[in-house]
Amino acid sequence: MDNETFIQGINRRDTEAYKQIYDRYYRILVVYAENFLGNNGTSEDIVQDIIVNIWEAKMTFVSYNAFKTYLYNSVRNGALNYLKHQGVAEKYLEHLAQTYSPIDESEVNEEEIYRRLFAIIDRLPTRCREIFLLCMDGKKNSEIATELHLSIETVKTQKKRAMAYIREHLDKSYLWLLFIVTENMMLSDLLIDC
Amino acid sequence: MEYIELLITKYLSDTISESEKQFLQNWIKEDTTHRQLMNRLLHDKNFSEKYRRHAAIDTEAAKSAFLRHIRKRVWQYRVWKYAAAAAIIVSAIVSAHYLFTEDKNPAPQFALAEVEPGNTRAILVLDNGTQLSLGENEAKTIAIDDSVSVEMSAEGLTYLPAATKKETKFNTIIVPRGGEYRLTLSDGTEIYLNSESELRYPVTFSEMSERKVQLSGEAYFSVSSDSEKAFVVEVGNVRVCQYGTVFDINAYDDSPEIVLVSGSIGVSNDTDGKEIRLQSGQLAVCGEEIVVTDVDVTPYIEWTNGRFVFIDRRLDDIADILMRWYNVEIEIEDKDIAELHFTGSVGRNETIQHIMNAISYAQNVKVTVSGDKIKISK
Repeated sequence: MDNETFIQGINRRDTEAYKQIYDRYYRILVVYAENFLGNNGTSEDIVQDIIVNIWEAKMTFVSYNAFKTYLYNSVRNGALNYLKHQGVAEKYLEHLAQTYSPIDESEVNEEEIYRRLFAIIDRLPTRCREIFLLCMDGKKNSEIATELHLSIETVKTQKKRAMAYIREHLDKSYLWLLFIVTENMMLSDLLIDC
Repeated sequence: MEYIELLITKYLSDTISESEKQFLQNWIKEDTTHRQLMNRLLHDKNFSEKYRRHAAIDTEAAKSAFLRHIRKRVWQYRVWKYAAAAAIIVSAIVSAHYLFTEDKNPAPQFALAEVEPGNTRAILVLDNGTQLSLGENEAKTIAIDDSVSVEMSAEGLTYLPAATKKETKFNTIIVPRGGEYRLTLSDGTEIYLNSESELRYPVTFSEMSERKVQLSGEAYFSVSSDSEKAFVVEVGNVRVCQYGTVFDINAYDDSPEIVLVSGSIGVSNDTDGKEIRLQSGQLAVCGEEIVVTDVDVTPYIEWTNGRFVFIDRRLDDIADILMRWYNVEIEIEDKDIAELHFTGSVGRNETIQHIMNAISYAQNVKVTVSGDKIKISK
């Protein structure tokens, strides 16, 4: 389901589109809420409430971006509100609100970066995934080899496989975007030539 | 921005090409916030930990809980949908019938007793175009925007003071015919919107020099005096500026009527911009000129207490009010009847039949349902 069809589905209250909210966003939203609330189940409740509310209030969105922004910011505000009701100190709330500032449609969204990367990592074979994750943590090949009882060569090969897979899928998911960007670049090159 | 997100994702996973890296580096140099963002992402040493927490979350369980929740409601909805479909087929047959016979008095498509009074409902339009339908919602707090939360309940909408200061965003409440809606703005000002009305307002007033909102239709304002900023209502080219007040604005036609219940307000229009101060118990009718008279405010504001009060009102005007509240068409057959004057009071929860009976008894006119309209004739 492409983004446009997805948003139209949400606006029509199509169940399939709502299932997609879970497949695409549920996990990353819970992880985002855990930044505020820690890992105690409340995060899942907050995310669930937000999705149910979109359904019940028959919300419609003008674009996929507006939808994403709405999700992240609702989680942020929902979590801050929850803490406020729990009587958490004002100072700590301010600190949290500043650390995790509201997400703006026109700015880079860190959670979206994690979301896309995690979605691809999900599909890597188990060993390949383990090696790649340790590598992302900043570990050297030799350290990974020792930790997983593997040869350095195996680590290198698996890492390469992981990277090739990720590159391919990232490009695929952004294909339309690459196309638009390169087209613009070509236009600007032409303008300079003139 | 999505392109930058892609490049960062590639950079993090070490799958970026040289030319892409160049592009990303230029972006990082553009702004210190870009550099800070990259630093934060690159020094996140708990990447695998974050991924593992992510992977452990049970999406399927959450999805099934959601589906169970909505299925109950979908079923209820279906029953109504089929009932509605049946009704449409019936009315289609009826109108097809009359299309061919061209009867001047088409058969009634509804009974007077079935016409429901208005109820609590509205549509909320957010700054980015997102729409929510509001009704007698269960009480809950929701985030409607980057930094703004509202409490929703059967009593209406209450804007909570914003958590963070950002550029001012505007929301709009649209109340359809047959609806009414109450809301409380972030400064504590309470507004009661009547049917077929629209109000546009900033979600927070912190960045504004005055508390300005725009209205069409009718609304009753109880302005919070808890602010040093003037509260201003714009209706077409008329400006109502308050100084701690309760007032009603009725702007369904070209000459908005403003009634001051208590406090003090100034009214001005585009023509000369001169502000006229109202005393409590005064009515300003804003045509080409602003005309001020002393009035009894009750008939102007009783709708907010759930009653219609008509004092020597033209039937034509009464019909307009009823059409908005009951969401029906009323046709008055001739001019003489339209000019009849009525005095009386009736609850807004009464059926329209009750009101129509009262009218027909009082002035010996005939009320019938003709096609999809209510017809008042001699």
